[in-house]
Amino acid sequence: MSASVLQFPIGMDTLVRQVTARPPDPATSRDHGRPRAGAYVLGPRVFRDALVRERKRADRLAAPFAVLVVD
Amino acid sequence: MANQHRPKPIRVLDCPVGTEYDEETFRYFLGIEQARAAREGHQLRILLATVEPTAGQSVPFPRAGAVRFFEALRLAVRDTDVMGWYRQGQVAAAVLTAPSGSIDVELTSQLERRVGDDLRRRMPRTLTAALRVRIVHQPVGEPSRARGTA
Repeated sequence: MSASVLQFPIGMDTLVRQVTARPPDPATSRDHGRPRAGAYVLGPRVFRDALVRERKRADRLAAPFAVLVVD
Repeated sequence: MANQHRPKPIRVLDCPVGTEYDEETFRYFLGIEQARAAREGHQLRILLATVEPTAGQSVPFPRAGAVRFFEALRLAVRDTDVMGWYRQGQVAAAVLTAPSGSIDVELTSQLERRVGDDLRRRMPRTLTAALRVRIVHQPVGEPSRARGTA
């Protein structure tokens, strides 16, 4: 069974084995037939959440941070 | 054949303020964190939580229990971590972001115990015994194959 196709109900031990079974390939892998990043756009609340998270992460790591605004 | 070149429909990921990310949104951010970890050459640390009244058989989180769980999880992890459903209603999860470098296995075990105990203290008693919490290291793909957006 593919590691990305989880059958439920399962127990934690089985879940952990599946989650850690093989390296996922972000370029090609699919979960439950859903497309990966690229086919999505973030709505207002999720975008704001991500913006806050990334800004805090950049602050913590003293890393540069930029936002591109298209008007 | 023409269908192969048809652009995929763009989906908007959004959810109400104060609620956890649904599975689709969580998986989106998980994918970004996987790509970031692959680029930086380190493993990803993921917290997984299930409700198992019987060992090896998870059941859906009761709605009230899920609300309490995510409230407690929000207090237990950092504000840069991503929380949501790994499997909607069934497996709650958080991506525990790490700056870089290798993740210490012993520290992860300590974190698992501390966060697990903390979550159980804040959960309804009916769920305390059935709550399973694990923090796992997810290996990531080769950096050259990963294409992320962050």
